[in-house]
Amino acid sequence: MENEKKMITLKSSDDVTFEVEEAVVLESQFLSHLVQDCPAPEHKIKEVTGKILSKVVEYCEKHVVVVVDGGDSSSSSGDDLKKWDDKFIKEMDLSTVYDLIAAANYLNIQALLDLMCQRVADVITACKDHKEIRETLGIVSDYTAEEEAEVLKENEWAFD
Amino acid sequence: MISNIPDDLLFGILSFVPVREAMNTSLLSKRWESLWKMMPVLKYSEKSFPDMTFQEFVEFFRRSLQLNEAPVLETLTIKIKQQQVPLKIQSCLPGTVFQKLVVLKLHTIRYLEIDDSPPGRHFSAGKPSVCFQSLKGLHLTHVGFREEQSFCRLISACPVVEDLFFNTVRTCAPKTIFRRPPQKRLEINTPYLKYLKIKNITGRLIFTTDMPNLVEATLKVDPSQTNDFLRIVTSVEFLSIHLYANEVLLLADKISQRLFHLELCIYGKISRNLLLHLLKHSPKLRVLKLQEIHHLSIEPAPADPYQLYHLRKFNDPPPSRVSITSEPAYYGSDEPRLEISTPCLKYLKIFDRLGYYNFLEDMPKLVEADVSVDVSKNEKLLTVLSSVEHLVICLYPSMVLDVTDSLIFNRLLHLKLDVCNSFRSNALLSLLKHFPNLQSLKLGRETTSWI
Repeated sequence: MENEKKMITLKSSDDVTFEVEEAVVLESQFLSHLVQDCPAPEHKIKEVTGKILSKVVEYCEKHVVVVVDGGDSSSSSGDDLKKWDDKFIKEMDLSTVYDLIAAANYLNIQALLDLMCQRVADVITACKDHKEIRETLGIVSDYTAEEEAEVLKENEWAFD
Repeated sequence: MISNIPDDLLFGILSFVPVREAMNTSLLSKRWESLWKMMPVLKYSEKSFPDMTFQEFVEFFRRSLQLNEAPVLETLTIKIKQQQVPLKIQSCLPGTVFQKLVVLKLHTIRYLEIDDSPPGRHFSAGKPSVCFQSLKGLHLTHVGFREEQSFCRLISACPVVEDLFFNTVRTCAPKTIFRRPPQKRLEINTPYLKYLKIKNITGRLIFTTDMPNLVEATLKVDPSQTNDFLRIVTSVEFLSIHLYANEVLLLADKISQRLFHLELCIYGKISRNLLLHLLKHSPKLRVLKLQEIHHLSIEPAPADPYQLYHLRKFNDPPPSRVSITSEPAYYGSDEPRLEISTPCLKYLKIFDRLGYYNFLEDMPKLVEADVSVDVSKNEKLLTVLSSVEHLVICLYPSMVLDVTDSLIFNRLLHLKLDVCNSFRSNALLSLLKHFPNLQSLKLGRETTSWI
């Protein structure tokens, strides 16, 4: 039998703890360095809240590279993973997405970061104009009417 | 709140947004005004511009690229759907792009050109007047070049490229009055290359420099070319290649001690001794995937006679099944003569109405044939088909009598005949005389014009 899997405890900024396998932690470059450098049983991550960390852990547990014999991952499992990703982001509101972007960036989990950026990008792309983007993303304009008209004029050529 | 996200992460978001939509964001607020101009990853898709003509689209991306102020342009993706005129690399990309672009991805471009300016100067083969000084990656997916010089110029305009990816790249030789178009040579001189992935390319690739840094090579091209590739794979760790069985020995001599992953697709049968010999030469090998090909499927039909000519090497054992399928005619396609020499063939399927096939040898073992070719250009075709039991073919009525005159299809049991024009019943009757053992006949009418 293989050695028993090494477990690591992660603690969020608001003291929610998560016990995960070491392989899960390795999905994050930041955490894998942290675990290597200081072999304490528990690691506090001050920048990430429990709510967000639970999402990160959920994502990483799903994405842990399972080494099968021959090291070949079948394409169907890739499709399944993509379906899972789609569902994962669909259920999420935008403010969670922003927090996850910050967390994925901090913890250095590129695939999660890309997934979340893609989600926001899709929202932006789907909007028909800047007003709709503002509304959807909750951005307050600090342009005066004249300034806005000027920017509009500058880019006019692209929208003829 | 999105306003809490720092700029570098907003670039990450915007890099997934096509440029035109990203420009919308300049109107959001002062913070967003210039963000899109700093985007290091740019994606232009003609889909974003349903209302624009191709020329307007090109003008849009030239102009918006000019406004880009990112110090390094990491990736530029251009995807085009409809195209009437060639996309000219020099005139559509502003000069700054040539200096700062790292990865260029071109997608679904029917005609790509890189011209030989300054204008007026006499044509110098393969020498481009522009240069992507920092380009490390060039990905071409479904890209066509009007002539091979354009391809060669593009490659030599990328002197430091490390990653080449070609998926379905086509070149068409200029129209020629010769029956056999001159061999298309696609020269690749990329001494710093690390990753090479080729899938489906027309023309003959010639590597003019050594590539001592090459680590990964995936060469999914027909085996008539790959023996020339063996000299560049001496340093690779990952190799996927198609080879004729009798060339495996050459490979064993060339492969590097570093090789740990090998995918071999053998045309023919690889003997146990040969395999052992190969393994002896690759001490670090961890993964070996072996596939033997005993029948041949060529899709699309080769525009280059050389490829079929080389089928002769595929003789160990000879293929018993050949299937050739053409795509809708590509622009400027001339009519290469494709020579087939496969005396042991049992099954033949050709769907290539424009092709011009020359069967060099009889195929006495042929049992089934499904040939959608222009019989008027393939005069020997019916002769080589005389042994079949199943036949699907399309004929002009006038041809039927001429060509079958001296031939008796003794073994033919099932015939599906498509006729190109009206077909009189007495012509049919006299045709049937040539098939004494026929059990079933299906008649169809070919309505579409072939020319």
